[in-house]
Amino acid sequence: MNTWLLVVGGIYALVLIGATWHARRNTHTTDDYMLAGSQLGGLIGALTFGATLFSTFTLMGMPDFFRTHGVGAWIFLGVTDAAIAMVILWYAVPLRRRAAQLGFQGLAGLLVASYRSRAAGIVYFVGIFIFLIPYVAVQIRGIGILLSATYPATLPDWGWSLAIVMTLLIYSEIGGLKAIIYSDALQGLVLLVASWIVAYGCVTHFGGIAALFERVAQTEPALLSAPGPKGLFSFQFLLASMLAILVLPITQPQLATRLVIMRDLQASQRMALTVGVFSMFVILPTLAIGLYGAVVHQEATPAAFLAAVLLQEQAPVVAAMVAIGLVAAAMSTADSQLFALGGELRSLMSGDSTRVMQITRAAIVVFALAAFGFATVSSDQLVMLARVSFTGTALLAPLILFAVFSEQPRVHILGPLTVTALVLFIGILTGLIPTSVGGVRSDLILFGLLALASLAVVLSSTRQGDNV
Amino acid sequence: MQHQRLIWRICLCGAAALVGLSLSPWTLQDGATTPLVLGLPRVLWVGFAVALALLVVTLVGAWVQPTEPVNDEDERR
Repeated sequence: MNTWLLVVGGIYALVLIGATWHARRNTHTTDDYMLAGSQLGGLIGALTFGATLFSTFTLMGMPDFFRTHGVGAWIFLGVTDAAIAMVILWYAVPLRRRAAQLGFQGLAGLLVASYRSRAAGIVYFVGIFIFLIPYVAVQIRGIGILLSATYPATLPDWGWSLAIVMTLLIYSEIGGLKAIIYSDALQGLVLLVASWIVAYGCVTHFGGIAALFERVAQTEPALLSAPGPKGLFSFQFLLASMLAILVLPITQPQLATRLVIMRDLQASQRMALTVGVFSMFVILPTLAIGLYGAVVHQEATPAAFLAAVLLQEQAPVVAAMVAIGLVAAAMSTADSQLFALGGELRSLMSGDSTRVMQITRAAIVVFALAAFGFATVSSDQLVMLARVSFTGTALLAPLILFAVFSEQPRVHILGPLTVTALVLFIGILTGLIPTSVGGVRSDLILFGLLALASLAVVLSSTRQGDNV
Repeated sequence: MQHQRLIWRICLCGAAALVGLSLSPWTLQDGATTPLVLGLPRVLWVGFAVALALLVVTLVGAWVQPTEPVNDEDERR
């Protein structure tokens, strides 16, 4: 397999170098570098959005989620990601309009312009820094663990993680957002092909889909219904998760930026629909892989199950494709998030543009090193860690939505409101605040209170005649 | 134009209703797998149907979505 890994990895590296070189040649201005010239078409927009949205969280986390908690995981992510297409369609129009009015270098800058306050941008930047860095760390740690388990003689897990961080930093720093978008499109396709090949093998192992479900029913019937064997997929868990994931295109800068830099509205509409279809094609194979694992690798640890099903049980060429696909999936999400963090910092700065860009590029390296540091100490519960990141950034949604929809949003109300919500959520994560109150999940209560407070702001502003 | 706006609003409400259906007590009933459809348990086939319907709603929504030009590219169209 090592030979195939070198061959497939070599081809992938060559295409990546070609894409970076092409991006470098077509990058002439700072906006070209940071915003890819704002001329994305529908298909490449969908591929880069999809590759950024899906990551090791999907390719490694979701099979283990289906294996452990059952088919309710389809509601958790399949239904939610289909609904995200509608969110993109709805939100792209007002966001692009506001970005055209105020100028766009990043969401933080947009908040500063809309609220006429640097504090709004800083609150947003701190919020995404706190909750995106751990998510980037999850990506690179997941791959590091898997590859070191599969190739123990090559590198330790931190060595694989460091190699991934260095690679994505090199092509991001050289080619800017265009290089990231080209590599995302490539990585999205590799991810799709690799996951379908593995899923096909899992289904044919049982002789068909019906036989697969029969075996799952014999092994653990609770996997075929909600809330699953461990009771995870309760109404409250699914609702809170859905709310957190549905607002990702609104709250996470790497996704919102892609909505703004589409060539035109038609391209963003095509992108919305294609992302929805792409989501189904990415998540469906993880269902088959997970249910196969529920029968064949029932007692295995997550890492042992994933190493077996994704790599050890595959033909060498397929295993090499999967390994590269996994690395690609991790890089396509991590690069976009790190670059977006840099972009957000840049949108908060003013002054000499050369100096601003130097600081931005240095900051991207610092963010990458912070993520690598976090990766060496984080847990291997990929989906749950990702969900924490989604919930944390979801708390920023009211701050952003007021900036997009309101002509004169009030930072002195929405800023403290958002900070309070973030502090309370950190309190829940650290155990200072109970995870449920009166039988209701605390994160769900937090979402409800934030929504009510936002509604109160709208009503009070309308009563006073303000344009909200 | 009014007709398009109405269909757009119906699409938005339809999407919300579909998400609600996927979280309904009937879909998430403890331990319920029947009725099976094509051998798939209830929560899965309902989830597939809802996801597919959401994509159809998005497709219709993209046709009727009321938009105003945002930039020069949009103006030219």
